[in-house]
Amino acid sequence: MKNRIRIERAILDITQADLAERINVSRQTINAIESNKYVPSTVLALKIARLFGKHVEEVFSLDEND
Amino acid sequence: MEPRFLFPHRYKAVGWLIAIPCIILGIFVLFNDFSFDFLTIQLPFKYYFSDSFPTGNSKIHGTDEISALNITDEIATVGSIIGLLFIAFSKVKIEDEYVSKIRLESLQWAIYFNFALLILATIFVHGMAYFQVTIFNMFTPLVFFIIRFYYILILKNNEPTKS
Repeated sequence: MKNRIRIERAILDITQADLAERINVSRQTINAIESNKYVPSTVLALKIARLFGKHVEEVFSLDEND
Repeated sequence: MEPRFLFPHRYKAVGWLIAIPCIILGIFVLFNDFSFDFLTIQLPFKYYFSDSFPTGNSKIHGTDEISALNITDEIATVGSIIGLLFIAFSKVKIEDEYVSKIRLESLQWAIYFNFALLILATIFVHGMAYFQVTIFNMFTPLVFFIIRFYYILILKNNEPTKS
């Protein structure tokens, strides 16, 4: 699964730690999602998308391996 | 999702406080046959046990009857297990879904690693030394889990933030 978290974060100009704090997860979690090592749960994906004011599909999308 | 079957975060410090002295005590018990005299208790009943050791072709059958028991080794063992359990299964500060995943993977990794070592020890260690292997093996799954889990957590923590 691909995601645009790093880009959306840059638009809002917030760090991984800021994002993590706002959705109550650890910074490692955001780091792991951004580097495609971890696929978040639906709940977490919805929270991230809501924070960016986007639909989930605008932030997360399937890649050729899914 | 609320993680289940975990102790509150503060239990981790309690775990270290219990585990470290108990493990040190346990090492002395194991290698120096150490015991505290004041930990000898009089049993309110007669404790009768029998053992048989196969030695070569014959079997030594021993029975014993005791009314006093030194509980140094019991305290060391139970304390080590409880302490290690607290260290292993206390929540980290932010216990989120990714931490749960690392937790589960580390547990699986620790079990594989532990039993791989046990297989090697079974093949290469014999006699009374193997008895020591089984004693260590009571604690090693937890120890390996703790090392693997915190190694991954701290490693991820120190990874440079790419932004």
